[in-house]
Amino acid sequence: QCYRDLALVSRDGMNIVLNKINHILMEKYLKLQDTCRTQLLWLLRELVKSGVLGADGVCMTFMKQIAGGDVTAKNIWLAENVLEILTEQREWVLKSSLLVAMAVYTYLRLIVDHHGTAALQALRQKEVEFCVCLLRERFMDCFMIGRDLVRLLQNVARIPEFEQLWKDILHNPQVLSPQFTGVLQLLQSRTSRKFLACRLTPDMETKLLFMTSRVRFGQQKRYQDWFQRQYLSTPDSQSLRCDLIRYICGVVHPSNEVLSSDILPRWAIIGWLLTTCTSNVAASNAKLALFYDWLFFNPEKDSIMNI
Amino acid sequence: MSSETLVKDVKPGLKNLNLIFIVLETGRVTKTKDGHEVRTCKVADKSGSINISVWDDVGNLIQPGDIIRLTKGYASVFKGCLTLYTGRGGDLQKIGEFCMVYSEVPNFSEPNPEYVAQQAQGKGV
Repeated sequence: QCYRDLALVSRDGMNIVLNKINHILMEKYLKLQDTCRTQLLWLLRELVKSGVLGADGVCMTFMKQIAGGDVTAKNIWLAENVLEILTEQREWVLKSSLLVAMAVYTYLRLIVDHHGTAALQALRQKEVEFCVCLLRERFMDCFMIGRDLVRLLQNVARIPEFEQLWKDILHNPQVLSPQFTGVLQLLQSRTSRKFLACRLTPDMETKLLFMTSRVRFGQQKRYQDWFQRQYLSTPDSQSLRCDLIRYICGVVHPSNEVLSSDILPRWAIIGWLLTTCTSNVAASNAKLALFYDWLFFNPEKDSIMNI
Repeated sequence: MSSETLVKDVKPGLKNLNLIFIVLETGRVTKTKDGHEVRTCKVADKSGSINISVWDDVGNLIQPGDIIRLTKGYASVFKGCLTLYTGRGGDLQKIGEFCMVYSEVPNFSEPNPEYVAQQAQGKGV
């Protein structure tokens, strides 16, 4: 009822409402109580059902709050519920190429974390079907992701539905889209920062950016310990290292001023992320994440700051 | 409202201190004779670090990395070491976490023979 009133009264296409929601999500999500989170999701669903312009942005902000490497109940609840909205409102999702790409990037990455229990397996299956569906139906929208799409697909390649998709990508690319010439075309395309950043929650970004812009080299130990204790302390969380490394390589490009100062250099953070990894699989994925742009570097299209 | 004091300017006997610091370490809990729990935490700002003694619940809630505003604190010497306390009517409020630059040195809570001597002579607190 309140929503109906709000929609009737709004003169700006719900712009203020959307901005407020995005603000709350980005700044305060961690502090929100469960009932509030549920209400916000309900509100999102209503906005989507009414076709409000900009609801796709709120969707993406919500997806950003789903933490990688985190299988605690609340995080899984969020992953499940956002997926439910996206699945239920498929037609609406298909209208936004960016949302298609972001949703695929997000859930392809999350699939890696969802294993072990029956509940997580069930969630994984839904995520697999969701991603494969979008990849087959809107391949060129997903192509927009660039080379990190290959990296993500490699990590899930053993899942039967993706195994099949890989066969098509490698041997029959035109089946996915007449414009798709093959995996090389994808690998030559640099992944935009917005994808690399979308897999870090606002709090992770704030802390990493603080480290790379304010902390002096030699002073980083405690900050590393605090970050590690919060985000990298469980076996499941090691997968987050890849996302952090891709972020540092692709999004954090310090100015010359910072580079020539004694502020903590990027290689030191990456060294920390690689050497404190407790899983061999995660470590080798992390190393690949580090070299990804270097492997396919094209001076005309890529930025040297990525390597 | 007075602006915040820096750690380096904290001296024994000062009262009504307002400081903003980041928590570096929290120590073990010890029980006092009157049944309270007290914890010593190492905190710092850009000018140096110092120990603060915190009682009961507050001590259990403070975490390394927390950025805290102390109001109406006071400083005194305990076993030769300069220590901060929350005074009557004062408060410790968490205002953030992680994003504060600090310097661990100098550590103003290191045992200071001057303070010990002052106490012995009845000067200081």
